[in-house]
Amino acid sequence: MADGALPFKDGEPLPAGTILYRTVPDEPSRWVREDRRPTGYSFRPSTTQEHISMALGLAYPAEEILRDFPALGLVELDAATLLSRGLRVIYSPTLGRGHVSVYGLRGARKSLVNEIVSEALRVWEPTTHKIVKSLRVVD
Amino acid sequence: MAPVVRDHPYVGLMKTLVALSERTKGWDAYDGDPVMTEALLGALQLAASLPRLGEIPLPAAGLAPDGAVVLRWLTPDQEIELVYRGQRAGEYSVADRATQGVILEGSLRDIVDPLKEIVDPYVAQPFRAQPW
Repeated sequence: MADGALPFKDGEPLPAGTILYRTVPDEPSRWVREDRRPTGYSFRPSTTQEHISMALGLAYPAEEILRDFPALGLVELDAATLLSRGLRVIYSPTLGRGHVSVYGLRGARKSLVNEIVSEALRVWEPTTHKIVKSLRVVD
Repeated sequence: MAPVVRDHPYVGLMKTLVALSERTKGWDAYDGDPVMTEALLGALQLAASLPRLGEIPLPAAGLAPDGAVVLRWLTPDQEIELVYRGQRAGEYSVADRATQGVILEGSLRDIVDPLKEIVDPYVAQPFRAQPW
């Protein structure tokens, strides 16, 4: 869907039910190869950003993200997972294609980010792009 | 000629940790920070002290988005992590490996010796009782 046809405007909070993506590098702190799962570190910001970046599924579908970043894995979340924990989920396409900024994760405890990861709807393994978790049926 | 000095069993871990210092800003395709130097020193000190526990499984070592150094052990049932943000700063945690439910978490500042208080009881002792 072209950005102009999206139901959200720049700076608008995104509602529950919105599908979001976060890429995951094949790095020991971010991906547990033995268990084929992401860690919570993918949901912690760097020291220079207050937010973590995600992609709006309507604007940047999983298949295109995986094509553009062949070495990375991918986590799919419903924005409800973030909103229910008091996080702010803001559409910010000026920062990149389908960019979504998620605020409130600085200093988040491990238990919180683990809960977020555990509610992933789908997970694609880095490099192989095999779906290793799927709780959502996609046509 | 064979080397005179054999590699220390933890030299691979040391090399992995030192290699983290080569990561540059944005290494994770987002905004990932380079390693915090003091965090790297803390992790190296812990790694250097591991031989005090005898032979135990090596942790995976990686870099968090904020430049903290993560050491993670997987036992058959649990995930044990030490996260260094300084030589004595950071966090520790023990989580259920299957559910990822956190059993124990806290600040490294609140414990005296991570080797004795975390690595020994949650990694070394279970490994000695029943190696995996």
